[in-house]
Amino acid sequence: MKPLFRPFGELLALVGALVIWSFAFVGLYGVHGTACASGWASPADPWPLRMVLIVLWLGMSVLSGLYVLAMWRRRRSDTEPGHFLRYATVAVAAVGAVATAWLGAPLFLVRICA
Amino acid sequence: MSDQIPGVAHPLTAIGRHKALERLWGTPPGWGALSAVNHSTVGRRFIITSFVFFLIGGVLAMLIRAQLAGPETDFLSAAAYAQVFTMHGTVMMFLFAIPAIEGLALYMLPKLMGARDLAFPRLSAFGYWCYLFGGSILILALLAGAAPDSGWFMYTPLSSKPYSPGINSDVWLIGVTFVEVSAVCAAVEFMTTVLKIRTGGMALHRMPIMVWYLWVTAAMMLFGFPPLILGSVLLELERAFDWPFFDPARGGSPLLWQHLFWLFGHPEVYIIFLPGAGIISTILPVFTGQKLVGYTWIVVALIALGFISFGIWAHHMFATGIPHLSLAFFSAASTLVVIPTAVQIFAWLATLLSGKPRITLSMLYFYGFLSTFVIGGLTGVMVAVVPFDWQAHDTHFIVAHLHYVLMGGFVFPVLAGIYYWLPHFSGRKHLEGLGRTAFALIMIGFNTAFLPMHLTGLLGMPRRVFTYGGEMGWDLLNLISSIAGFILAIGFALVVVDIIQVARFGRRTRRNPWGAGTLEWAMPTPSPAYNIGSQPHVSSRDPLEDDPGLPAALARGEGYLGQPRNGWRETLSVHMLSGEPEQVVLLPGPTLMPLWTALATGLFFVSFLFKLYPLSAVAFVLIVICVWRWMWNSGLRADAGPVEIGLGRTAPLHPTAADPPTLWGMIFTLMANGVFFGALVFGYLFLWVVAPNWPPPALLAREPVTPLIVLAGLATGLSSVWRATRANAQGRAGDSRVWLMVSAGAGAVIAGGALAVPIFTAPPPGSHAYGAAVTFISGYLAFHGLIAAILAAYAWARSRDGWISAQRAVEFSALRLWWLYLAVAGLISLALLHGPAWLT
Repeated sequence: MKPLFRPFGELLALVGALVIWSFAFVGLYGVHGTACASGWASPADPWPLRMVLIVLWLGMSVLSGLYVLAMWRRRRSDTEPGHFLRYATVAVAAVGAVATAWLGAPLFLVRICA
Repeated sequence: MSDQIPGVAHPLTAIGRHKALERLWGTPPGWGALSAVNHSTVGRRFIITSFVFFLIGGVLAMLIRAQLAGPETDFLSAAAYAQVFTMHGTVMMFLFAIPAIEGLALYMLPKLMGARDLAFPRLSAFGYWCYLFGGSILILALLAGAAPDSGWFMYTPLSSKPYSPGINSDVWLIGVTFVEVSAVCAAVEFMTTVLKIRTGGMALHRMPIMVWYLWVTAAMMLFGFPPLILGSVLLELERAFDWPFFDPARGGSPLLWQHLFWLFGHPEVYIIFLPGAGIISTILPVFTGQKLVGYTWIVVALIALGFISFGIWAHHMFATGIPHLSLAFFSAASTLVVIPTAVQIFAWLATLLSGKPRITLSMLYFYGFLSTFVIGGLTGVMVAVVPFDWQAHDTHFIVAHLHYVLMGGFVFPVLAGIYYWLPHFSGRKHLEGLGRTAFALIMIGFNTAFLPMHLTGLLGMPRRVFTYGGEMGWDLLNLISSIAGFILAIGFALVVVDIIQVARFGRRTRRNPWGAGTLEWAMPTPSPAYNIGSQPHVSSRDPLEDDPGLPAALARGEGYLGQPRNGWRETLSVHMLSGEPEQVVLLPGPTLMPLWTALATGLFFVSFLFKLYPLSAVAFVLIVICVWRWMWNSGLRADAGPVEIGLGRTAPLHPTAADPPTLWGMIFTLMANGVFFGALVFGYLFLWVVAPNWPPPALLAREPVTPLIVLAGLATGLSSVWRATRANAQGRAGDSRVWLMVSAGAGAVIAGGALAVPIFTAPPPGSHAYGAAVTFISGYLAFHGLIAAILAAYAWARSRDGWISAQRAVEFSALRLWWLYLAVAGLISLALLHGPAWLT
């Protein structure tokens, strides 16, 4: 990244885990809707789609967990703004990871395509 | 702007500095006031205009309550009632709440950050005129009896031509879109300003909490409004030209409108709530004498809210037949969004409990906010649960819930803020008596009107019915709500009287009457046009608490930019993370160009409304000419080195800096544009997957010529812009201009290639939603090619006239960004347009 945009990159890193959550959300909603509308899945035969959705959800959850870890292990800055940004980034990442994990709860409770 | 390069300025006394800065930053008298671009003036105009609309919305509410006071009332006809409730919602949401936030942010942001103005003052003025003209279209239509009548969220097919054949829905689509242009302008303005236009030392962690709130709000506006703008454009195209985006008989879907509307509509609730919460987080520490508990956690909660609130748009669509699992995802997000909201509430409670609250009028409104908003939030959790929502959907329970949320989450905090900042606005302090009476009437009136309404809804009364039978058992509850509604109105009338009498007769107050620590109180009250004699270097969130003598020192010019020079309007720009001064931004003075541009934009919208399409084309050309003229005089015509900024430092002028605010303005504009395009892609795929009568009867003809023309244009345009940039950086201005002309030509080729698709190869747009979508995507691509050509021609003309050099080259940065965006959007468009034809 060009030095000019590096600080902006730091700000984008602040919201990285929530971006992952957004992709997880849109992915789960989109795959489910498309599979149901196209006739690929139905309430009578829910397991193939349910497995796809669970794999997708688990993948995104692991990704957001890894993101938390990566942010936690990042080089510590000696400056005050750096401390603040690191703390906030790890906290937001944790929130994003929890949000992604929570998103999967309905997969085990609600009927497919009904 | 003067081309003179700075010399040595004379030291000034505090009074001399005040006079010199006031001359530079002041609003011209008489008709010259129309040329004002100063953020204080424009902000005040926004706020006052929004409250005028609030009063209009309030009168409409009174008409609704009068109609529903008893059964079988014939005070209003069904048709008139439909216009009244539609306009009540539209006025309150689009003409009051959002613009009031914009006005507050316009006025307060620079002051809170110790700056002299916003990043793009002319854009603020343009936004104001768009808002005023767009809102006026709606109100004039109301007076003419042609107001929108399909509900404030304009559901299709009710708002489609067969069921709304008059001009009513067009008025909404045109007027609201005009106002939304203003909101997107404001979002770009605020994003850039918070990122770059702060005072020295104001690192991210030292920003006042209100600035964080407004920043997240601006980001949400940037991402939230484009889907609604797209939806409005598509619906207007359907109504005007019969392009069936929402007609299921021809491959459209009414649900597409609902998705696009609520993609905006639910974040909108938080766009309204967050600034209100920001006010609470600002006043609470002042009136409790205790620092805000959990600053960082609140920042984290805000960012989480900003994202998660976008994941709950379909919780307004639980009754539309979407599969249960899809609904459950939205339900999960809806329950999740409560947590960051609760984090803030607990932070406020902790601040309250650890401090010693002073019971001022602002604090009374805080208590009113807390109780009301918590009730609204709890009923929100109820309707986030799908089975309950199916019972309560479209009943007066929902009306009660949304009023608890909006009155609690927005109106009460705004009233708290008004009384807190009234001395700042007016230089006068209020007497609490009348204000407390108004508060009591508002609290009693509101709760008595809306608490029983939950029950009315649970008893089955649907919203938006113009009357009901006496046998339904809803008459007593409605009568109570109506009487209390009038008590509420009296309370608001008293607030207006109170504010007017304070502004006129209130006793003069000293600077910083509440003993606050933030920088808006470091300036004289009412604040002068330039805000602050010199800009401080801050080392905490509460600079006034650290140094009570700071205001006097700043007035003596002992900060940054304390010496006016060369007739320049100067403000600092800082490193976005550390807050270290990086450049001096030279801001434009009063100009009528924003007004002319808004008038041309208004002509475009009004001519479209009355189907005078040739005039719309003329208006578009006028807009281009106005924007060209507007931008032409920005910058410098000679290179310049760093200038002294005070406190022993120097900094470059922004036209010579690597990342001037203009660059960030372009980045945020392209982000909003990207969201618009993303919503378009979503809409196209949604119709393809979900809507009935797909696949379409006919696809694009399979031909390679038009996609190859567009691809060639993209490749040529991109490479020529990079070559032009390199030639300019190497001082070869002539070569640079040649490549710019090549780039302009490439943009024109893209426009031509894209337009050829609907002309030669696509099915007619009226035949099927596929044809309409293909035509729209082609038009989007052609429009962006055209803009690329205009931008390249503009850069060419600027280079020829000496505004551009190797040192002053922001035009090239902006042009490269535009071409990068065009390349990505162009490739996706080509895939959407030609992919299906080649794959089947």
